[in-house]
Amino acid sequence: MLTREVNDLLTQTGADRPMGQMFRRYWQPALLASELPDDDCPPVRVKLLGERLIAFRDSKGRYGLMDEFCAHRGVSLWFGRNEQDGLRCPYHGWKYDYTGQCIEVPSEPAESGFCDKIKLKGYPLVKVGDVLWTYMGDKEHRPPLPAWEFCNVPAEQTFTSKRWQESNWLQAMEGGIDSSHVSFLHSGSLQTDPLFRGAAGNKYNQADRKPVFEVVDAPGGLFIGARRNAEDGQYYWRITPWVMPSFTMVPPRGDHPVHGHFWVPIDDENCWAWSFDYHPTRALSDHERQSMIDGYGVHNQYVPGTFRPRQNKDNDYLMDRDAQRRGETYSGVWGIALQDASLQESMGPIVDRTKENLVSTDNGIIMARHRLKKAVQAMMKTGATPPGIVPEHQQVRSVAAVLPADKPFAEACRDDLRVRPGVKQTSV
Amino acid sequence: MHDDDLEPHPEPQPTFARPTLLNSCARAATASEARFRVPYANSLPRVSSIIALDAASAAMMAAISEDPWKGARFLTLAQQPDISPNEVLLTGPDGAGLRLTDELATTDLVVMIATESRAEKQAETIGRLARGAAVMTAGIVVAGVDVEAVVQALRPNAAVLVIASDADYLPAMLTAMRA
Repeated sequence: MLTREVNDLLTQTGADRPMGQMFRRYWQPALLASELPDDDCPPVRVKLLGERLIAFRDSKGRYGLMDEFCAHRGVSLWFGRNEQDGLRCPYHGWKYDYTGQCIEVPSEPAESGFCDKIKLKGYPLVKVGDVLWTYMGDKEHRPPLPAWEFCNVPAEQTFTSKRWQESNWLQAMEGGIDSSHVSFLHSGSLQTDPLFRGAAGNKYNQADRKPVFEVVDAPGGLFIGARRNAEDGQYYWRITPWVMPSFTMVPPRGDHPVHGHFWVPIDDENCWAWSFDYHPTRALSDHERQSMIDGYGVHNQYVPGTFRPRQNKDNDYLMDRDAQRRGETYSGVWGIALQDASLQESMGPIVDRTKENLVSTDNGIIMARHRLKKAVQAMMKTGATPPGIVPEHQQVRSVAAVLPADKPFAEACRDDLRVRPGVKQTSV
Repeated sequence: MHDDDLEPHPEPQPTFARPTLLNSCARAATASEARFRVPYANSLPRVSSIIALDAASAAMMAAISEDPWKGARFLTLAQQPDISPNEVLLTGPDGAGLRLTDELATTDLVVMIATESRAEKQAETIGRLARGAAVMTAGIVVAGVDVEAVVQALRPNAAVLVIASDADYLPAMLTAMRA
């Protein structure tokens, strides 16, 4: 359980809240690059960390992310005309460049310099991989660009999707490090999902449904190991990295692409669940990419034209009790992503953690909350840089490995848990 | 594998009649609906026994033992902890002697804390007897000089192991688990 005060501390991410200030110290995934595909394409509304923003790509291919509303009369610039190096409000023609600087106020003489005094709040928007990243903090603390492996491998080796989740970011992220739910909620998917099935390691999951967990502090966050019995007294380990504040990876299966997530607050009651798949050393096959587009693995299907999942709270996630009875799904909800989201959304927009009853297998979650709390308090008190910001902390991989029974997994897999360009993921 | 190997998505259809009240569908997951969650307690108080396996762990434990815990009992190994392979002698905060088997009869969770591997034998006995008594176990290793040896000592004897970089984690974990 958490006290109400700590629950508020960790779940409130507005600009005036401590956790909001901490989130603003990191580069955040803001849009898929495909949402702004061309110069002068239509602008896109973005809400991040409780701020309503507008994203656009100008005539020179520069990306802008700024206050959604015109400084003149408050019109949404989603109605704006994206033309000739700027976004023009259609109401009275005020025009802004990609930094948010007003560059034209047609009603005033150009030589008056009036428009120089008008500037919308703007944030950098940078393409790394197939994602547009933004940094919403102050210039003084702006970190190096994201160094995550999934967005720095060649384009043919990676695929990213995002979906709207109707819950606070923390309960979504906690699902990403809660390895003990996999044996139940997702138990149907190992056999059938094209992005999981066929891996040699799957047999250990099926033979030993009571994994034992070990949680290890790491400089950027945690490593959470789940071990199951393997041959000759050895253990099959599945190791999940969590990097602060909201990056998680799923341990790999065979030579399937490796996947993971970011959980990014839209506001305190909604978040973006970003899901990526990549292979460190080879291109994704057409079949793999198509499976991801079709919503298999950690991805999902959509209400057409939106990032809202096709299965959502308005249709009870297309609950199928017959499929559940037939043993095809454990919860009756199809697909790993929505199996998680349906339950996390059912907790309410911000789960009341004063009522929960955690057990020892929840230590990954307990430790993650502890690290977040410590980091945010240290940042507020002493200005300490939170973990996960420096590129070195981002150079992590998940691992699946069979190890001798007496080895600490973090020691035995020290190299495997680091990004090694040109070297395949460690997987069984 | 070819594209035509892909299994078609199932097309599940909702099997319920359309809900007539908000709280009869998943849309009830709103902040305003949360007002109607029942206010009654959902658990009974639990007892946690925290056992320090070495002097450094005992010092960490002593630093928090006066905090207002709900049902935590803080224990150390007695000077001569072994009287048989099926018993460990413990010492309570007031210096009184206790038997592990008596402690296990009234506790719900045993947390072992270690910074070194000296008490491997006692950890084995505690883990084995706790399992036999169906008591949950957890181990906290506060990273020190020889993590590998401490992990070896605790891993077989705790259902969950946490390797923490500092002592702060102990009170955080106990609070989270309502100790």
